[in-house]
Amino acid sequence: MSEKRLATILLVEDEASDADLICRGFAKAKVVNPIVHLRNGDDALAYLEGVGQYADRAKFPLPAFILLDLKLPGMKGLELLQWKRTRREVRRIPVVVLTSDRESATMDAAYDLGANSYLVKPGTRLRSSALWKQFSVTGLILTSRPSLLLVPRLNTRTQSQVGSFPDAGTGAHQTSRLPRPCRRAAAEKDLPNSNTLKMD
Amino acid sequence: MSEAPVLLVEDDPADVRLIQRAFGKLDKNVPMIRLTNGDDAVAYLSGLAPYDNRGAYPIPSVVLLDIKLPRRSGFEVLEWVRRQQSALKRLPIVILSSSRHSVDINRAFDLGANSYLAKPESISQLDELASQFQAYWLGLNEPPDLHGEPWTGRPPGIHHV
Repeated sequence: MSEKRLATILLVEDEASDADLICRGFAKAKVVNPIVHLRNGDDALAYLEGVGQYADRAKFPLPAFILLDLKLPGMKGLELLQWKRTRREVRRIPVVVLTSDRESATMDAAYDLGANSYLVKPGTRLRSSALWKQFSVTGLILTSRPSLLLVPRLNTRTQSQVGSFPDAGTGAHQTSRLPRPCRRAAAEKDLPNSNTLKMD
Repeated sequence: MSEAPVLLVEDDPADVRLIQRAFGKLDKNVPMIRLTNGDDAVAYLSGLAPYDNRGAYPIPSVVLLDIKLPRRSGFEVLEWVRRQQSALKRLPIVILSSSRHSVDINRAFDLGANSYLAKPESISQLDELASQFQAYWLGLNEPPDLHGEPWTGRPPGIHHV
């Protein structure tokens, strides 16, 4: 196999400012994985299904995990969860819900629909610093010892390219410049390895 | 009411010692209950004797579950929990295994594991794992309601047309 590609993180979030904070948080936590940012549930479904503009799996690889807002235009986050678990090829992709919804009914529904974790966005007052901290921790648990958190492999032909998280201490990936911006898949012609994108 | 414990299901005494020591070094005390096999884990979670006193043996906040266990395996315990009709089915379960085989990882996620952690090979990595586990699963993550009714209907706020 040729060079292993870094696992993609799929961020589904309609609020541009939240997405920006999340991406910065990941960057601060030294997460170098490409983050594909989609802004609504319908796009996320199309991406996971690999249809329409996302039909090319080489360009739009299945993500290693999904960070999912619940309040979305079009298909809602919970509906996406419900759909996802009926699809064999994407069912095992872990989903971390990230929402401002603190209702326990929503939380329980998310868990019952197969969410792996549920995080609540901090209130607006301390938003930037608190969210940043949250994501440092999230990012850390995902990547500071990447060999310790294992993500499922997906039964697709691109499996070997998706790979797992590389070792944080070594490898060429560490040389890429931080922070890394999120990529908006719909806007990008060529998603993977586009290290040339500039911040913001 | 005291804090819900972490339920550690691990048969290897050496691993248990290392894991407990790593959690013991944390600033905040993490109550931990340890069981050595899958059958005991199911009996505990069911509240069957000798675990029928919920005051002494409360429902855990998270289960740290090894895969290779005597009697019922970790996979079977996981499957059993997710099959429950009560709210117990959403109990967060984090696999902690020495296996890094994708067949095990895939199976764990397919059966509904919340996360899968590989057993570290050094003490310092284990310390870090304990501290991150605490920060994430006992801090950042919003726990499900394990005592309420299981959710059966449509997602709240969603209306199909």
